[in-house]
Amino acid sequence: MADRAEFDAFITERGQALLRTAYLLTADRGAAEDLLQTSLAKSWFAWSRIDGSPEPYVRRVIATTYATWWRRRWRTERPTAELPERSGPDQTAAVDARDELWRALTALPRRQRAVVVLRYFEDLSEAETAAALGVSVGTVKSQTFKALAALRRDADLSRTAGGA
Amino acid sequence: MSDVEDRLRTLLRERAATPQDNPTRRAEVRSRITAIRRRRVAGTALGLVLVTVAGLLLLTRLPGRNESLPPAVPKPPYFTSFETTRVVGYSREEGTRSDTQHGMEILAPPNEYRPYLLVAWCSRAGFIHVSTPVGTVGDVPCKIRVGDHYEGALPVSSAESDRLFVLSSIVPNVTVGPDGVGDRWALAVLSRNLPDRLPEGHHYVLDGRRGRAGGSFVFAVPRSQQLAGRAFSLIVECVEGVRLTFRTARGELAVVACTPDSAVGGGAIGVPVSTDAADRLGLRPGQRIRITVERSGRDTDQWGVAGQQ
Repeated sequence: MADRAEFDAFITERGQALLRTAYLLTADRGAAEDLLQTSLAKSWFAWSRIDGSPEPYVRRVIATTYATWWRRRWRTERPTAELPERSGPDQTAAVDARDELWRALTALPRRQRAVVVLRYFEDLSEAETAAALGVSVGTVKSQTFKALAALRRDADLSRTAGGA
Repeated sequence: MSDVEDRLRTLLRERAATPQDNPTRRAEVRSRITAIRRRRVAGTALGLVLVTVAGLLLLTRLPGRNESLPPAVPKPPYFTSFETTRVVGYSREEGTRSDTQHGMEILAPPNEYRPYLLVAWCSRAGFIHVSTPVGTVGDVPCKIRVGDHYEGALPVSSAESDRLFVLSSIVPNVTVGPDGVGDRWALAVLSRNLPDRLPEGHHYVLDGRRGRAGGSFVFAVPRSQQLAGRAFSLIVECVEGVRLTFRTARGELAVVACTPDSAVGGGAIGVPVSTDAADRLGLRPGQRIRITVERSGRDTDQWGVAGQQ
């Protein structure tokens, strides 16, 4: 019963923060909530065995669920080459540049996107990222390199550098 | 590259602020936990069922289990040695030749009245694919452990015998494809001693097709003994299950039951009459007597008395 109370408290306290990670991975609010809830539910079954803070464990479940099982569940999710038209008049160069980078980010392969989110949003080290995704540090390095190269190319950062 | 990294950090923090919190998340997570638990229970139950079914299937296919034999196929062993067969009720088909290099050659004509049995001897468990120029005959399963090797059988009904006995200029006319049976294997063609039905065109001194319950015929007692102690023998052809009682005016002469092990190769059954029985009934060499035959057992007209041996 104590586990249940701790688990509920964790959801209340850390749910929003974890939702942000899930959103950065899925780029979709509904999918992010689904990913988070699925990961929390999966984590519950290991809750009593988690040693220390449960957050790294849950984050790892989110990342691995997204990178593996998630692709089957969200077959309909497709990176789009063009963003939908915005209704607002915020067509500034800076916003365009950020949108372009966001679009390039969402077009990355899932594994690379997960590495980028863990490394540059969660500020995890390469070793921590590797542990979270269940891959080697070398894989994290290579995936990071490929992801950044793709972002530089697809987002044309040389053109938008400093424009944000 | 550091510029990209900085811009990424900024972008991710900006975008991460977008999603709104969900006040019902705890309840929804609980619901998912319940669903996962149910699925696991159902999955475990299903897994147990599948494992049980798979185990049963495996057991039925384990070498040494006779359950893998088709119905009405005799149980092994079929071979007394690598080269010789012995199956009660069956005879090795003459005119067949097999070797492990070129398949098998069947020179005998098909007999559309008798079922066949392809029997295999294999050093390891597997299959032997059998085909002819006109198509596949079937796979002979060789999975029943017999001592240090495996055996198996494939029945070929009389109606299907033309699939096996293909007259062809291609030699060998039967192609044999061993599949996992090891380096040493043998295949033999056996034919059942008793026919499925009497051949058309055969003439009998007494034909069950003209009176299924029985009848009589005139017979001349041979002047010389066939064998020591045996006055003569009558020859019968019949399908399995028929029982025939032979009588003279003075009493019972002989009884024959048509069983696979009573017939010899060719499908005929000899009905020996001893000299003692002949003496008891007062039969003299050269005497013409009337023999009555009464059928019992299986109710069929598929029997006939071919005469004396």
